Amino acid sequence: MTDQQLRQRIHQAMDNRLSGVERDPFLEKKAKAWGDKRKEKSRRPSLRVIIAVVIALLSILGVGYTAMYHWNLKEYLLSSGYQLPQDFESGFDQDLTQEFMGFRFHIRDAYMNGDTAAALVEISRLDNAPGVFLYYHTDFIEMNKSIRMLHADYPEDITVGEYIEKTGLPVFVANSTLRQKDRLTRGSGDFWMEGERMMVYYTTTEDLRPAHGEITLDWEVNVRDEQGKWHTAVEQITLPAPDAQAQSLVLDEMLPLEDMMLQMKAMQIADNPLGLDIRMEYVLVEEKPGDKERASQYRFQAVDPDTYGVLPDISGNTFFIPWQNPNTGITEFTWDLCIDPQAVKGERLQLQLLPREAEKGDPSAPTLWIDLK
Amino acid sequence: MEESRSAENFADDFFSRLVECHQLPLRRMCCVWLRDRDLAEDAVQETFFKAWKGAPSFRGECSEKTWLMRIAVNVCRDMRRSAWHRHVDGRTPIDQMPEAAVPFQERDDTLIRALCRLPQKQREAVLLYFYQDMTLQEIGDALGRSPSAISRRIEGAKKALRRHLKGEDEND
Repeated sequence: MTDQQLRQRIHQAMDNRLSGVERDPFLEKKAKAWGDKRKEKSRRPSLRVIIAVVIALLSILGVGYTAMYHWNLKEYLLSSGYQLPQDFESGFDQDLTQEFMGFRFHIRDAYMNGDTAAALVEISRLDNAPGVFLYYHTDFIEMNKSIRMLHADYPEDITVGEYIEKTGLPVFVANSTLRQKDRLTRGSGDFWMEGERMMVYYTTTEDLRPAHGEITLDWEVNVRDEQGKWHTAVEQITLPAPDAQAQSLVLDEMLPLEDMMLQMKAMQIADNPLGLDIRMEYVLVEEKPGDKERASQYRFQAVDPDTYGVLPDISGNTFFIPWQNPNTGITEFTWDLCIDPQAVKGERLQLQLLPREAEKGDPSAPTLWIDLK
Repeated sequence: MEESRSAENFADDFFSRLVECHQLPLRRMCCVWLRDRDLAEDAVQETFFKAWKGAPSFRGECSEKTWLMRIAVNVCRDMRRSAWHRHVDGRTPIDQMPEAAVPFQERDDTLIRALCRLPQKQREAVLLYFYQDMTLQEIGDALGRSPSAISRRIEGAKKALRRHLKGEDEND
């Protein structure tokens, strides 16, 4: 195949196979609004920034700061924007370690929240020698902010390559995953370095099925060798897992929104250790051009029925994208919300569809009442 | 005052044109780069936000496409290593490609999957070269590498793609 033929093939494949990816007529507006939102947000220093400043001050004072980074899950989640219930503890007290390919993997902390397992896994070399640890290929990873925090004398835009060149440290690529046998699961990850001798890898796995108060998982550790080949070792672990109290409701309620009509499809409520998890699914009825974008400007919020104050979303997670089902052409919306159950007054929960930035409820807004009994 | 107003207008016009001309190919490319539609949506928005912010200072030292692609590459790389990079299995490609809106041939799907399987560096270079029709020099400028390094990446990618597509071509 010549270059010209390959070029034609790639154009054709990208434009046909990915024809479902369409132009967004509101992108220009959204990109500008995104910027405004980011500007507002950036005025408030994040907890990570505050911690970095404290660490920098302590290091000036000659105080060791590695211990400050010894986050457990509670501290990590708080640093990531979660507003945890005051009594939240992961309750993990097992000493789980695997040694593999010259590395030590140690589960520092783990917990189950409903159908999701989260773990902090320490990865270090058996000889405890220093290195730069990464969870994936080095090719595309830029310098991790946490590494920068530990080395405040390096400029902000330093890349891994430059950092390695400056320090002369060897690079290691390793990670860790939790799985449940025979289940297809999804998850997420994050990592940071604690000094130059340890990486901590945060991993979550969703869609798990605990039973009888516990869950047995395959704890998989992966190491990439110098030739780029991955090696894996697996050990079974058991975590305490309160049975999920998930309640699924099929709703067939229509909610008017501006001149649009939304049809509620389903709702799932689970009383998990982190809070009351609520997932809502709804679709647009007889969608017109631009409706998807307009409806996306609204989100469900839990609202105090007396004061109309908005109950905070514990997870701080407002990430959401509507999805157009290619088979039906209907736009489907899914919202996840996690609230502190103690903030709910009585046994009924008021959910309102409000503009994304709304800080107060609105008696005239589309409303759902959920019976929590 | 008049001068600053016209500079603002210029930046606005420049940005509108940028969005109009480049958003669709960029959106599709980010899907393959990130192998995740949701992340790609976010990456495109972030890229254009950065472009809008940087538009007034764009001095035309490189083409606007090179400049935009440089931003996009950095955004995508950043997202790959960011906290919430979703994965089913960190070692295998994530096939979360969006459904097609028009009929496509099986070989289109095969090729997209083959592109997704390329190592990240090769995937970036090959899409910029064959899909964005950029020159080696322009890609080098966007990725901060020499044209010869880019050429090596593309050669490596071509070999891998031909290997993947060989069986299919024999069947044709």
